[in-house]
Amino acid sequence: MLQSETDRLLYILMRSDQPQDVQKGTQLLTKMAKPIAMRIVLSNSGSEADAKDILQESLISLWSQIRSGAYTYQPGTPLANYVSSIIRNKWYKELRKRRMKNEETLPETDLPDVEIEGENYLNQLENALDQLDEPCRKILTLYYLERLSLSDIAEQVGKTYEAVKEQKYRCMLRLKALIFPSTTPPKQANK
Amino acid sequence: MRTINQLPMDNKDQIRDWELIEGYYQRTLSAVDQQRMEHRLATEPDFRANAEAWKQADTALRELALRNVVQKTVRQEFRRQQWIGRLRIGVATLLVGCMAVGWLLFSSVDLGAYQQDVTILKQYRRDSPEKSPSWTPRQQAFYQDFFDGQSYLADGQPELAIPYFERVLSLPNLRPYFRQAVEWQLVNAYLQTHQPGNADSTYQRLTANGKPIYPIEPVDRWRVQWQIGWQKIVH
Repeated sequence: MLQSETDRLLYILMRSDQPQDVQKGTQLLTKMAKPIAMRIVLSNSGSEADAKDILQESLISLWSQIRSGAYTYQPGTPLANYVSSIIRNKWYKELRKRRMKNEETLPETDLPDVEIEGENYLNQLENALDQLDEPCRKILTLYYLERLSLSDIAEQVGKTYEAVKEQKYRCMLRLKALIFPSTTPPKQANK
Repeated sequence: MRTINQLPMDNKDQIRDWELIEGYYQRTLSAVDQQRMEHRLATEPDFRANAEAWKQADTALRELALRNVVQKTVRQEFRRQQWIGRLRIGVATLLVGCMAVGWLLFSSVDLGAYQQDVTILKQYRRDSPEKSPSWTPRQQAFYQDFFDGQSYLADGQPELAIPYFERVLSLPNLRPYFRQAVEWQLVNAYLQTHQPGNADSTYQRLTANGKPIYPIEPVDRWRVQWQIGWQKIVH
């Protein structure tokens, strides 16, 4: 397969709403980007664990950019180059943070040092999820992040299917109130 | 103004509303219900506000779930690739180990380098009966038997070599160097005729007799040890 076709396929997979597509895309991207991350990080005072963290952050960033439309597939522009610039950018930023090197000695990267809006939003969402009470957090995490069915969740938390379904709805509205307070109904639901 | 959140927990209509909202956005409603929903969304502001709230939360959680997939997959892939790398090293090590053990166990012990024992040969030539008529019959018998045994061994007839070596070893007062030379050849002959017990006892005698004088390469020593052990298991 031509490199441009592979890049296009990766772009489509990462843009997808389907978790299995995103998983497949991430697998392929990890395979492609791991040597790049290892080279950049290990040759700049980093460890293998650092390379793993930076690669994870970089691929989340790429995924956010693809989802938000900040990055679009362009034939002739290898995705590997773009991923490489994200990794380099993130690693140098991390190095600056650690004060291991002087900023002047670090090469400039070709990617603007900006936080992706989508990433910030998801971080806020994660914080909001953490603010929910334990039963709510558990139900929403099991349902959305672990992709369990309501029946399985009911079994896990020891409640009826109906009770879990109702609680899930209420928890979603509470979560929404934490993320978008301005559009929240005047009173929160009773527990 | 009534909102869904303010309704009592046991209100069936409320649950039904949420189910409708979820079904509407997931496009699982019937055409009739779909139309009803659209009508309600258009005419009931509170209902629409709650539907939008549900939709926003659902979308946000699905995005978070996708990000979670990316995070998890990178970690899994990293672990998987590390595991594959380790597995490759492990398999390569195992293969090399198997080959080494196979070589130690199954390659025939070839003491060919020692068959024409230089020291003994030199002494034999220097002191041969023709040159040294003073040789005792015992000395003559030693050299004769030793070289006959070596000849049979070199010809691939270890069973014929064994009596000669055993006879040499039965002679008293052999010098340690000669004794060890003969014992090594005898161990080899026993191994070739699959007599691990005799090979072992001869080898034990060899090692019990103090410092090794007769030069045997460590690798040949290991092979002899491994092959004695192996033959004891299979025979």
